[in-house]
Amino acid sequence: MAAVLVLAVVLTSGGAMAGVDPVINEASRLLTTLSGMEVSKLALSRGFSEYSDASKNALVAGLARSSTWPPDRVLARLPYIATPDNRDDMIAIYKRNLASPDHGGRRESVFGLERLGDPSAVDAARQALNDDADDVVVAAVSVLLPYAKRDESVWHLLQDTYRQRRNDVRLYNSMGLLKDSGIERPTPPR
Amino acid sequence: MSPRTKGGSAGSHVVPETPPILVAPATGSELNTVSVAIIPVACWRVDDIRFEFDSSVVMPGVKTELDELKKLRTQHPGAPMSVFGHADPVGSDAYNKALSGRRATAIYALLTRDTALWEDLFSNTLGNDRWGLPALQTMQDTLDAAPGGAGRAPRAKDAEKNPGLRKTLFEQYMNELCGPDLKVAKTDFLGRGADAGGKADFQGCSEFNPVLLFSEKEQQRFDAATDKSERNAANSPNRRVMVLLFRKGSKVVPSKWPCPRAKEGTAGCEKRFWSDGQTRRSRRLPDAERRFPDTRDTFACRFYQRLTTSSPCEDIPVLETAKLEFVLDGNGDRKIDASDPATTFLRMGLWDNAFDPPPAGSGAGAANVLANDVAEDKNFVGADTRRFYLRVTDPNASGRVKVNWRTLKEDNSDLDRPGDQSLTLLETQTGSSVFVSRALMLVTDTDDQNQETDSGLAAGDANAGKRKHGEADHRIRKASLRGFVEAEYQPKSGPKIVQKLPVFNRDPDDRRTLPLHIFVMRRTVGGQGVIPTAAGSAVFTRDLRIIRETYERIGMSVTTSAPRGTAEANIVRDGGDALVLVDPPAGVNSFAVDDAAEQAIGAATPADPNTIRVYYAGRLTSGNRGEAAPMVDFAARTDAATAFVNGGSFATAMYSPAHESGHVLTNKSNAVNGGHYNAPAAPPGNKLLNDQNLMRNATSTSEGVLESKRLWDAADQDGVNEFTSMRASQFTRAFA
Repeated sequence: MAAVLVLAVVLTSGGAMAGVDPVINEASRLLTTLSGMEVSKLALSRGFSEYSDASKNALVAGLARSSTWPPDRVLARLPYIATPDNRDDMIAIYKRNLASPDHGGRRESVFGLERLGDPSAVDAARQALNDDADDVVVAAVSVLLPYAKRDESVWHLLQDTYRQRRNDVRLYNSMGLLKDSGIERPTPPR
Repeated sequence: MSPRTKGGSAGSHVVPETPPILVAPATGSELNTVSVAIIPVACWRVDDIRFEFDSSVVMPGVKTELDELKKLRTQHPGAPMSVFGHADPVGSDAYNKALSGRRATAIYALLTRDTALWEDLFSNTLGNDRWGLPALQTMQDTLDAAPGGAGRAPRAKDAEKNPGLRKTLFEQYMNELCGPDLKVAKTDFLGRGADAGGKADFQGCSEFNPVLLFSEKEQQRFDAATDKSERNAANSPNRRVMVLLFRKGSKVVPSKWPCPRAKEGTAGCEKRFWSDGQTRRSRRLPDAERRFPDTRDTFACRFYQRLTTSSPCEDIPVLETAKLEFVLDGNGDRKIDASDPATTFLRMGLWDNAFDPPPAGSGAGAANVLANDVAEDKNFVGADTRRFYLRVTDPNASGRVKVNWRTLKEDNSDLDRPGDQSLTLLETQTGSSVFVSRALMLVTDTDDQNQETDSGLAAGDANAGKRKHGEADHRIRKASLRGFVEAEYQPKSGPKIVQKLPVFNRDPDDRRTLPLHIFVMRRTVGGQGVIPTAAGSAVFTRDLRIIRETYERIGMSVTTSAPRGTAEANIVRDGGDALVLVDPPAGVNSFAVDDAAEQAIGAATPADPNTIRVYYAGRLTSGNRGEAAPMVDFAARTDAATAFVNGGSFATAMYSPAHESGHVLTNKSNAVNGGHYNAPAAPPGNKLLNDQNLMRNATSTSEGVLESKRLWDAADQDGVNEFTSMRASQFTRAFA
């Protein structure tokens, strides 16, 4: 499985974790679970409580050092294994994956930064407005719209984006989201 | 009394004693000439059913009658023979003269093993009497089915092109039919084989000597009918070949024999008519048939009547009727015979024994393969638990028969009526009169419908190998659970037989209804949907179609509706279907739907009782393409019995709506393999693999035969049977 290969790279390249077999094994199982095409609602709502924080931290740390691109579903699920100690690594993962060749990876990274409350989310979203992938632009618009209601410069940025890209048929949802949000008004709704 | 067999009769005539002959003395060169009438001592008749319809091809069932001829010749040693062919009164005299002559020729050639005469019949067609490949195939099948005969005879396809092989095939077939003890020399015939055209040895009598004439009323009814099969069947007693055996020592001079040769026209016959011959052979009574055995006045030919007026073989056989049935494999041995039970309804194929793991050495990620071999147990149709068969019982047929089959919609209009609907049914054993098809299957989608199937016919058969939809012996039809399957068999004698069965039992009704509410989240309050929702869009034409195709396989009809009280402005309708556009509740981003959001959405859009809700969100934060809340885990929550589909994966997640609904239906806990299908380990060699199951973790991202869309009627590793658990779900209801 690709995810396990990723983990193998992650763990063997991490000298600090080498030899910590029980944690590595547990982290390996966790990555396998997170890599599944579908993770049940029950598992998500329980926050993968059957796994130790140590294994969650080890997995996130390994991914942060990895040179590979995790699947978008793994990136989407990282917040479900957040601990007090792995937030910085998680942010690093998302920042790096803003450049993922997979649009899903870029999308989840924009959303991930916003979900973690990292200030870099706004800049990441601004950059993502120019992405070719509709879902990435949707992520950017989703992040920026709340700011736009408070900050007219963001509103105008979104307006410019809309004017420039509204005829791009690939951007069905992102341009639709802007339109449905009243972007054609001169000022943001109060 | 003549022994009656399925395809003919035989018997001895009552022969008057020859009176003493008083002879006066002769003088000088004068001689007394005594002319003794030729008198038949026995008769043997082959009925129409021993020939292909409207053809001179002799069918293998004639073996039974040939046994009777052998006995008759033993009883009447040295009795010379003559063959008389007869046609029915449909068509011109000239055509029927030729056809009856060809049938007489075929029998004469069979008895004398004259393959050149058969070659002449093969090479020179007459109307519909074209021997061609089907005749050769019949011969090959018969020889292959004989003990130790498999593969011995030349292949029909080869013989069609090669006269030498054809001669061998003819010879072997003739020997097989007659057996070693029945070979008649040409000198054993009345004309002693002296005439190259067979004069006095074999001849056709056209339609001049019918044994049965319909009443005026019957004739009018037959004339009015578009389908002439009933008329043809009723006329079959007239289509016969008679062989008369004459007193031992009887001789004729061929040139003086009154009957014209088989290939000659009718003029010679007409010279021998009664003065009222035309009336005899054509007059009809208003309400009653005219029958030769009763009135002895229906033959036009005076000469023939003199020979046969008291013949026990000029009777009218009681026609045995044929039967057509859909049957199941009662004991699961994949060998269908007369003992297997007929069924009153059919079900959709499950493809539950269809797939094999990839061959060793295929490499990582190789796909499973579809079993599609000639052997039934290695064929996805032949191995399916829902397979069924067609069976014909027809005492008047032998070797093989053809049946057409198709499917119908609820209103009886055609659903799947391919260009060639025919199916070959082979006789279970020579002389059994029972013919069975290979296994057949019903499917619900076009990918399955168009899957090639091995015909199951042996190598060398014209239709052996893979058959496409639209070709003969393709074994799949697309069906509707509201519709029917219809099969049609045209016996040689009797009207066309049609059998029509419902798809799924209707009495009691075994079908179920699965009601769904489909919601599409708006991007923002009052905005557009996160996926296109107009009538004709993919949510209707692809996703809902797939849901229907999926659940129809297990007998469930899917309906869609908006919950009661939904504002019409929020409903999009497409034909009888409906979806509801739903605003994101306060605090919910349609593109960041998490567990809490699903509960909020569920609370805002309650369902009608026992109805599954399927939502399309812009994006699920879980990264899932879809997720569901089965009652076993979530009964107390507002999102119980919901299925959420990730709109971000919409382009390739065509199976997700069916899959997520399946979680609610199977009600398998999330805690057990994530609620997913778990392929059983036992029994060894089972084919219930994960990859093709709809409920595996990770549905396919394109449509096709090999994709994850199957539901099976067997317990998985965790003891969950999809067929029974889904149908018994609280979210299904009585069929409506």
